Amino acid sequence: MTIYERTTGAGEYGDFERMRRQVNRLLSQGGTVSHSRVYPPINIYDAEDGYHLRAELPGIDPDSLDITVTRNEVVVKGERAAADADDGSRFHRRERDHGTFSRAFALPDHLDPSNVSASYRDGVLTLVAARLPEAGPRKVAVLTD
Amino acid sequence: MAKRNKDIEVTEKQAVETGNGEPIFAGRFYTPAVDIYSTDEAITLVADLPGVGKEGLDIDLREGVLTLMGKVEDEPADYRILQREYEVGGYLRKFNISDDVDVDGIDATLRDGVLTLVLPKTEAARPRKIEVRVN
Repeated sequence: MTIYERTTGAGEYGDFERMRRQVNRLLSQGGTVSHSRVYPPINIYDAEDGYHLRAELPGIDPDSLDITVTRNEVVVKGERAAADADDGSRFHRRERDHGTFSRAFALPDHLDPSNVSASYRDGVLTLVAARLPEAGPRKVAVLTD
Repeated sequence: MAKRNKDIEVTEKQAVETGNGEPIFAGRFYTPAVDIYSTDEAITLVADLPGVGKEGLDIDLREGVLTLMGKVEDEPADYRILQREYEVGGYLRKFNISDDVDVDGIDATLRDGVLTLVLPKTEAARPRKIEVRVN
């Protein structure tokens, strides 16, 4: 074989160093960190104009995505194709994920399904779902005779 | 290629380890997932670099070492994170390239966050059939 990865020399304390760094990273960042081994990994952000969902989905055909938004749920389904290698190719490394996926999220506020936009750029899918304007609190006058 | 319909097996993003050395670059870097396959004519390297555009990608080949480095935009500071399943950061990975690659013929395409590098083999490295003459 003519191409292989260079390994950076993790010294005697490599494992310990890695663990220390992971712990530091977890402590330093906000939000919920869930390493639930799901595909695609999705980050959810709360922004002024609604909820932003971002998924790393490099090399996908956007037409193959099936996105459904209801009042309280977002569902993303799709399929990611394997590398388009010629017949007779010999694989030396195969790390890229491929197959079908489906993910569903419940969000804390009601969503406005008529006000959702999706964009796909550089392999990142961004979904912006606006919150449904809630009926605000209302004073109730008590009628007396 | 046979169409497969299976659920994705998930590989998590791996942070680039610098061992005991000092990190050279600012920010976090992750190891991109790659596929490498070869035919008699060429070696193809496919790397997942989600979030990397043409401007953020740097491919460097010197002294037999191919370095892929991709930079991504930071997360907007005014967004509050509700759920995090992936870290946002750049990509870095190095490969040793042997002498049988024709370095002048390397072709790179970046599309939708996927980099495809085709490294043609030199004429000398390609297998050839030897005809046997019969008198």
